[in-house]
Amino acid sequence: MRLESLLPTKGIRFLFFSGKGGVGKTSLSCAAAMWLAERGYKTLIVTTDPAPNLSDTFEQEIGHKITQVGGADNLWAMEINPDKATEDYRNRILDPARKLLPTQVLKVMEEQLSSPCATEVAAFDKFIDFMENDSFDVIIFDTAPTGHTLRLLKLPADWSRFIGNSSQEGGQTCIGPVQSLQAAREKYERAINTMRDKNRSSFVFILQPETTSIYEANRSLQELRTIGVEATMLIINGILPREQCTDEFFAKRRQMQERHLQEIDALNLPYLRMTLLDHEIKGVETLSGVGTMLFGDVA
Amino acid sequence: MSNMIEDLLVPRNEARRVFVAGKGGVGKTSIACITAIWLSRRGVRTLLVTTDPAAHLSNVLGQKVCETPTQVNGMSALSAVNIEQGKAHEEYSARILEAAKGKYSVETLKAIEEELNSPCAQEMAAFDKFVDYILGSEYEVVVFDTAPTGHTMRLLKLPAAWSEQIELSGLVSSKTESIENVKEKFGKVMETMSDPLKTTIAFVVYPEATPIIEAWRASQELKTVGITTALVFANQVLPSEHCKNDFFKKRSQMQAQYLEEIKRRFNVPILRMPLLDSEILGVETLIEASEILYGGGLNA
Repeated sequence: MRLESLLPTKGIRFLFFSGKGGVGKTSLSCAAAMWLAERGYKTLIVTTDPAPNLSDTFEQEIGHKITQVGGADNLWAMEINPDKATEDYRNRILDPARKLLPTQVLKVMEEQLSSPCATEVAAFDKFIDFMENDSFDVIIFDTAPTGHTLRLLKLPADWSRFIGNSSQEGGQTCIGPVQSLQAAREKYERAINTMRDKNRSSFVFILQPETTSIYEANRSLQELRTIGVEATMLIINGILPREQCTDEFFAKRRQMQERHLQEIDALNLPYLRMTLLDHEIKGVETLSGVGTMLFGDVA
Repeated sequence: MSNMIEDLLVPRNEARRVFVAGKGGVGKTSIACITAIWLSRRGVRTLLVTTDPAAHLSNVLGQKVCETPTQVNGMSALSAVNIEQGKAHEEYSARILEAAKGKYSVETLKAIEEELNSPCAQEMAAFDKFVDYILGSEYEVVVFDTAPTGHTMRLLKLPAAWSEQIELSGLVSSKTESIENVKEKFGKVMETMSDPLKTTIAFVVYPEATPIIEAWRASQELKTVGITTALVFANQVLPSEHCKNDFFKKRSQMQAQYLEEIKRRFNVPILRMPLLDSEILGVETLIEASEILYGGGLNA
């Protein structure tokens, strides 16, 4: 397993963690952040997850601002509040439109801008600001669950195209007047270029050795390919430790996992394996241990 | 099987819709199938509506599920239908664009087309296909393996001209159907879905932090449009009789804390589905699973 893809070999490195809710994305991305910070890289971990889960995982208050993680050197964290991000975004787009459009239309626009799509765009908008930040060596995005994430990632491409089309016609998008999006276009394009650049961005997929999880991961990998992004590595989480599976019930489940591990093998991507622990992955000490278990002692 | 849960799933005087909501990967399709199988084995005429990619449901049911309701092999009271989301979305987009053609400027048409490519439009398209099954009375129970979000429901309620023109005109399923009819139809859908005697909204979670919080947020959003959650399925609960060593005992205790959290947050009946030693694939395993989840007594 080559870990260079996780390290800032040429300037800053962006790490995107992806996977369905509940596969262990937050724990493992925090462990990765901890591991990098311990190796001297100035690291920031950012989440847009609606649940304030970084506070939970680091066992300290993080919140909607860049916060230094206590008990760890070189490590900062931030929880983007998606509601707040959406509100900021909504106001930025609606304010110039308020004087121009009838109330009914504004009402529809407001609803559109409260939609899950708008929430993702808003969150992504905040992400991009971080992607233009050069005060860290590594920035980890503990992104929202897979479906969300992919739409989020795809949007800049769609929007760039859309902005291009609409402005030629002098038209107006459902999301707001073209002018208020125009400025964002270049920013979006820079972001998507950064994501496609293997020297700067890596995509880590978390999955579990189960039919649904593999199916979902496969679908996400294919969707990513459509925007020109290849997954860097997989982390297979939740593997039952063989020595604990003494009861035949768990022995049988372990065998089932073995079969799925073979299927994951066939995906032909580098992977790391993480066994299930008897405790939750919380607190800087545990995270440091998990980081070493996963990525090894040296960089 | 408590009476409380029976009341939420078994139809009394009129048809019932059961929506099985929850994030991908928590076992929505399995729970929906298990529930449909259980109902149909009690003699309740049941339709299972799925929007899951065909391959997956076909795996679970062990047979191909088509776009028209088809009887499930060996289950006389159970039919299944698959709404292929990609196709539903294509049809929906084509219909809206057809209706809009000639009425609007080129740029507006372009904007509509772009809007139709959004994930929100995809969700609307799938929901559009649900409507007939929600309002239909051919089955005693219709089980959906997914549920609309609060956002989709709010869009249906919006009175604005814009939504009428763009959304509703596309929802007119035949050329003779008027906007007024469509509005009336959605009024009925809203009324049906917010009536707990007609509709049961159930969330599937497994006893861990993230799935619980995600389900909670989705249920809160539905509440803003007057749709309340009636039931929670806690899936993948470790069977305590097999948790003999410290390792699994500790994991089981961890789950127990989250089961308490589910109770505390949702304050609705909770049905526990234990983790099984094999995957739930095929009608035989589904029947076994339904007896585990709801109890074996078919005449209960």
